[in-house]
Amino acid sequence: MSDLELWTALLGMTLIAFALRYLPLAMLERFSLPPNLQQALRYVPAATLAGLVLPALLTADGQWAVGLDNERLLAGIIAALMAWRFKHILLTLLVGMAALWLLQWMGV
Amino acid sequence: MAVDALPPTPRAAFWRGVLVSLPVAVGIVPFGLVTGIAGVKAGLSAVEVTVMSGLVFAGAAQLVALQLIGAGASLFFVWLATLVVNLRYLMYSSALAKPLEGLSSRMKLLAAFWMVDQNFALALNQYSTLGPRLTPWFYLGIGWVLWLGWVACTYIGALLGARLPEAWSLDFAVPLCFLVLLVPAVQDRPSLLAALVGGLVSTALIGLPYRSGLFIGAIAGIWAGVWLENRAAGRGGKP
Repeated sequence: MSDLELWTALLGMTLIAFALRYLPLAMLERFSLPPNLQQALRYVPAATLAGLVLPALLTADGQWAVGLDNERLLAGIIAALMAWRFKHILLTLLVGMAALWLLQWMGV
Repeated sequence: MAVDALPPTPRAAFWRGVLVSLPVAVGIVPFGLVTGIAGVKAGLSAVEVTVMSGLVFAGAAQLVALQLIGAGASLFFVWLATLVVNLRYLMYSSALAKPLEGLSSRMKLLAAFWMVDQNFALALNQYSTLGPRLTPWFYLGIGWVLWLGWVACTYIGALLGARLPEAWSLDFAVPLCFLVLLVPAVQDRPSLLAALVGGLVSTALIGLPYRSGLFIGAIAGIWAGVWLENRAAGRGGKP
């Protein structure tokens, strides 16, 4: 990416991120979102965040890799258990990374 | 949370927010460092990725955008990913319209700029106690600390990033950061289904260029969550 393109990308991202945060806050005093849209929005975090997590765990080199030889899947499962049990970002990161290093070192 | 007495003034509510945010801010340190590292790996300078953090202030969207920039994606895909990953702010902003309605229009600009998962959750949680006069300032106190911390940690991460070896597989820290956000988003069966469908469809479409499968996966996951909720409601059961 050229410098111009990079700064255009950053400017656009800034505007998109800001608009999504600002428009309902500024406008909902006058009207509210339709109930259908509100209901759909409730599932946005789960659906999009899973779309970021699962491909990173379930694929290797652009192919499905579901098996015990996939270190990232195993380390991800361990990290998910930590995140669920302790809800602690640093602990989850440390345990997840340590699990990956250990599995890679063992050559599972 | 050590909340003994109500803060007497908006100013005191702001500092209450600052105090409450400190343990939360510890949690964003690793996330910020990972973002700084990802920025350098994607070919940005330390200053560029730090400016990005200051302006965009959205960790998940920044990490996806940096992956795309590193892969040479076009502007359209970078912006599309930002839109999809940040859609949840539409929900946060709608829910915060009432608690933050006491702010002037100018302060609402700042409130929107500083909106993140943490101050959304804490302000909504404290609204019944703090009420319409104090909640906005409590919220702004949290946002201010998290923004400063986010920018500082991104910069430190970017300085570190250039020195960290590939063999450490630090790219794996990126999905781990998303995982920490995902787990609390799964609260009931419909949201679990939304996560499963969204995640699996995105995985199946991993071959599509520049993570456009994320967009289709998100729509499929949202549809699945709504479907299960309506189905459970239709039978009179609990979702």
